[in-house]
Amino acid sequence: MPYNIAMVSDFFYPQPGGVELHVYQLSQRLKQRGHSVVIITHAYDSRTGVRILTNGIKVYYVPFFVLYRNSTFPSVFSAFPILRNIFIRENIDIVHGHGSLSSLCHEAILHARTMGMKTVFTDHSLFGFADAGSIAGNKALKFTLSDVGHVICVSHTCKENTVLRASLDPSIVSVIPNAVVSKAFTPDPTRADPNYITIVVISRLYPNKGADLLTVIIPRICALHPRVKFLIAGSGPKEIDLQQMRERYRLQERVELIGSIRHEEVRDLMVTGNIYLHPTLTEAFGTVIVEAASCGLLVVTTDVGGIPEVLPSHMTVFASPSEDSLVDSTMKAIAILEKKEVDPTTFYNEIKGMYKWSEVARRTEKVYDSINEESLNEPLLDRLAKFYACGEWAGKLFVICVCVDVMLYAILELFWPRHTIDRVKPWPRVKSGE
Amino acid sequence: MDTLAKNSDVTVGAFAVPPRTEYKGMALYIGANIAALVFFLWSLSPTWLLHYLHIYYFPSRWWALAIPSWLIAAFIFTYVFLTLYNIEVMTYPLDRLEVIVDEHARVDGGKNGEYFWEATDGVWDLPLVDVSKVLYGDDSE
Repeated sequence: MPYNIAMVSDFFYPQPGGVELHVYQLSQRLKQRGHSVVIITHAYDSRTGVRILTNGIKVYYVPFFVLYRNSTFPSVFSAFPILRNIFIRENIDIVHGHGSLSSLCHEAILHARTMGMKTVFTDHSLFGFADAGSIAGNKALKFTLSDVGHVICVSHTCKENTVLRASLDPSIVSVIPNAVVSKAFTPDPTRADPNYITIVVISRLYPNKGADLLTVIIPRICALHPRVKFLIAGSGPKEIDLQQMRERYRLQERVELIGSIRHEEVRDLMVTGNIYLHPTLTEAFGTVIVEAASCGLLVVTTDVGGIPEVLPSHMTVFASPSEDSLVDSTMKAIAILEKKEVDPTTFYNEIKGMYKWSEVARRTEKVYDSINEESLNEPLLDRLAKFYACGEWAGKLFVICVCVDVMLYAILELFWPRHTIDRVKPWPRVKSGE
Repeated sequence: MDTLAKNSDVTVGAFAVPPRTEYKGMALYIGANIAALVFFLWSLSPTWLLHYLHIYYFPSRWWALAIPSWLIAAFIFTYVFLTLYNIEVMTYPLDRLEVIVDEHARVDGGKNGEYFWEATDGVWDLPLVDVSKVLYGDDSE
């Protein structure tokens, strides 16, 4: 049975990143499998309103106040009217939220449950348990996931993390890894500079992506090896630090800062390198290292989070997330390449069949099928009991929030009744006239 | 649960929770409880009791009522402000060009309009004229 699916996330094109790409690719493949998909995100700069993307995928850029790192203001209720309108307009059956830092996604799942729809949540990242931000974030996650249909995590490490953070029953959590379009990441050994070992880094330059580590290890590696060049793509708050490091050690010739690049340009940049360096501090899956290996680069990466699950061991050199270890591992990787112990250009054929988006879509569809609407839509009192069990104080707060949500829904139904909302015309399945 | 969380290496690799964090958490817990106790003692106990305890100098207890009331009013006002901001400032009027196209858009339907029916790796906006033809054109019935 084809579903009408709404993907909801604060993170989507034009912002680059793993979640954004996942939402786009998954939507495309689900569409190819005959489902109808719309994407709901918040407005980016002047990109607001409705846009139709490739393959007739509709994106709602909802005008909403953005608080921090492209996440909308966490107001719990404010987006309900517009989300309800979109859900009804598009005849949505399943609401699929992405990204645990996205407050729009949390809101959508809560409201969709109030409206009695099936919900799925995909977690793309790992969080700690100790700092104030994580504690608040984990409570919020517990709130939305107390009453969710199913949860998808991108790696087994991520599943363990999410189950602990939100105190979930592990049986409603599935693992579906990310994928890559491998034919878009083909190796090209002729493009790399034969006189140098080029190390490529493509990352948003935030502290959790290891930008600080990167700043420290570059001068050390450059001092140790005279024929190493760095290519760094990506922007973020730590870009200034990198620029200052380059000035201080006079590495302008050897460290190239490219700035933010589009995802389609990633391959052309990667093939000019020999080693891909991934100094991240936390990562649930790490699609980028699969792309790098597929392009024929030897991968040097920290062994945090879900990364050790991702690639076969002969394609990677692992390091612990510390300065010395990363320098050692990078030097080891350079030695491997200089002695020609492995031929990275053969990685492509090995990776080709490993991670496919069509497979991700097939498994996601299975998850949709597995949700039983009858057992999910229990009486309101049982639903409240689930929220009440979330914590001594938080439980009471959550119950109040759900009660307000149910009342808001009644008010919306009263003042903007369903039958006054126009229904969309579905995108035709096949090209007309053929 | 806590031991599991602490042993879990997913908490940013090598940096497992340092003991310092636990000390801080403990201090915060005790501090917050004492603060709450002092607040309730100050705001709820009758004046004679405070005088009996030889406490004569304390802030007016009008504040104990005023500050929470202000906070609740501010909280409710946030919703009003947010809704108005989203509708009045963030939403463009319908005659603005940004309703159709914007700085991030890369409008292309493919050479023979193949982007209308096939998935692509890059993100492309379909030209709106042709979208309308597909959805509402004569031959689509």
